[in-house]
Amino acid sequence: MASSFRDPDGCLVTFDNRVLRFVHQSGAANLSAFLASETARKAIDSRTLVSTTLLDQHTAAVTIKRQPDSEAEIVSIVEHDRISFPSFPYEWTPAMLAAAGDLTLDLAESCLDEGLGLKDATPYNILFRDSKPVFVDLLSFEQRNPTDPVWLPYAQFVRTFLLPLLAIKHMGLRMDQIFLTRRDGLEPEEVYRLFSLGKRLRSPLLSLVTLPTWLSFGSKSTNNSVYQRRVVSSEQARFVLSSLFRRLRQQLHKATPGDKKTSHWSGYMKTIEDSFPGYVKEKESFVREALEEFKPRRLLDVGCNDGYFSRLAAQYGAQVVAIDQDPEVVDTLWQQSRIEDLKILPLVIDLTRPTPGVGWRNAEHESFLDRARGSFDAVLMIAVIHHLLVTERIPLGQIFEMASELTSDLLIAEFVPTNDPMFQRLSRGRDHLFHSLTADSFRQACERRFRIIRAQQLGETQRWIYLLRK
Amino acid sequence: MGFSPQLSTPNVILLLYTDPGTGSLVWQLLLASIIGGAFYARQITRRIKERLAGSKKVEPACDLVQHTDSQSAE
Repeated sequence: MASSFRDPDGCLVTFDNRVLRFVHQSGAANLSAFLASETARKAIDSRTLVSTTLLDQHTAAVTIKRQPDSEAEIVSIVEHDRISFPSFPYEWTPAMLAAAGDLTLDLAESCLDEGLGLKDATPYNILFRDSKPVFVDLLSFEQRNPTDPVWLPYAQFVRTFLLPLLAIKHMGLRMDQIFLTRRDGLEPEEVYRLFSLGKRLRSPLLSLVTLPTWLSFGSKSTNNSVYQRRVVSSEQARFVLSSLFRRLRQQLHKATPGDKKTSHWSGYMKTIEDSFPGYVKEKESFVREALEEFKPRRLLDVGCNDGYFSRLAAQYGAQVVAIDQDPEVVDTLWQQSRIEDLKILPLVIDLTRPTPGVGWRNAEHESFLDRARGSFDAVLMIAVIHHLLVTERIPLGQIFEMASELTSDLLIAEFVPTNDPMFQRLSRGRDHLFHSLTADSFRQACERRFRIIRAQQLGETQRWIYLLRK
Repeated sequence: MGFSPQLSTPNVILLLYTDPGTGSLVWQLLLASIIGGAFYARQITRRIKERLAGSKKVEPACDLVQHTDSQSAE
């Protein structure tokens, strides 16, 4: 199925592991104009826009013949660089959404001077390459009239970037609560109802929520005069738009979460090192040896916490996707990954309740597991299996079955025994449920699906770490 | 609708792609006319200033022209 089917100007198709965009007659002129622009050139160079090549006529013709399903006439095909792990707003942290918003505003404004503009402003235009946002929907760019002082995607930008950030900051909502069920973000009227009069009359809600809500009260009648084109001088239009973008940027930065909050899991690594000296060092050198020997290229760190082992893997040249169900620790890891330019993409994902296929036919945005299967040659499950066993009651055999789907080669798994203090803290008196969990039964479960390459007891604990291969 | 410094072209309906949100669009148009009005006012004051300063600026402009000529002669 083609994704991005909503756009009449073209659609995106993945084909033989390549990402191709079929361009229809209506979109061809806009796309060529944009690709020829200075904005596009600079953005491709700085890797904030996905790099794009036009397929030659012959190859294009052959490819089109293999796609009989098109409703509109395809006039050209462009190929995009593949983003190795697509991710969606419901898996990001608020700060990542804000970074995507910043990129959207930058591109929207910088192409104005070349007679181009952005026709939509949604986070689905953007994917993350490691920690950096990349704009991928090239058909969002169009030629525009320089005398037009109105940026039509303004409302969509407010709905999909600003209002969700405000709802998260002030109401404690989560990204997945907003974006899993709502494709086009939050309406001002919905956010209006969440706040008291006092807050509604203050900035930023006054201009983003309250006034648009009040101004829409009279519009139940079909009065189309508001949709007429306004025309002013191009300097005046440019001035108005500059001021609009400046205000949007300020509002975006104010809505972005500020100081780091601590969560239950924030100080975890330090606590562990304090409780069990030597344990972390031994674990680290075990993982280092494995990375040194096998040099995995694409690694998934399950339950990454602060990304201690993700960083280690990235040091050894792996491209890492790091997942954790706690948005705070994922955010910390993302900030660091961005500042240090690490090859780590952190996402908020609970492996026991991973993001499903979303959208039309549950196929518009692939589920996490569909994206992950076959994408990694190594998976880390360090200090996480006992959580899956105790808190989520996933049977051990199924955990290893999942692991063997996710990795194409290696798995590093840590065994935490039932008498371990962390295990005890989780099980809280439900020990009788885990009487069959022993070092031997764990080992057997490993061997059912993997070969054990190395195993090591960790420090003075009775934890074991295993290097496994399919 | 009374947005004064601007001309609206009747019967040219905007080609919409995203939902521009009626309330948000009205608000944006209001803001655009206020800011556009401020720009218009600034243009006028700037032209007035230029007019006033224009009469004093004749000589330096001539010097500039002579200087450039002598440079190109070298």
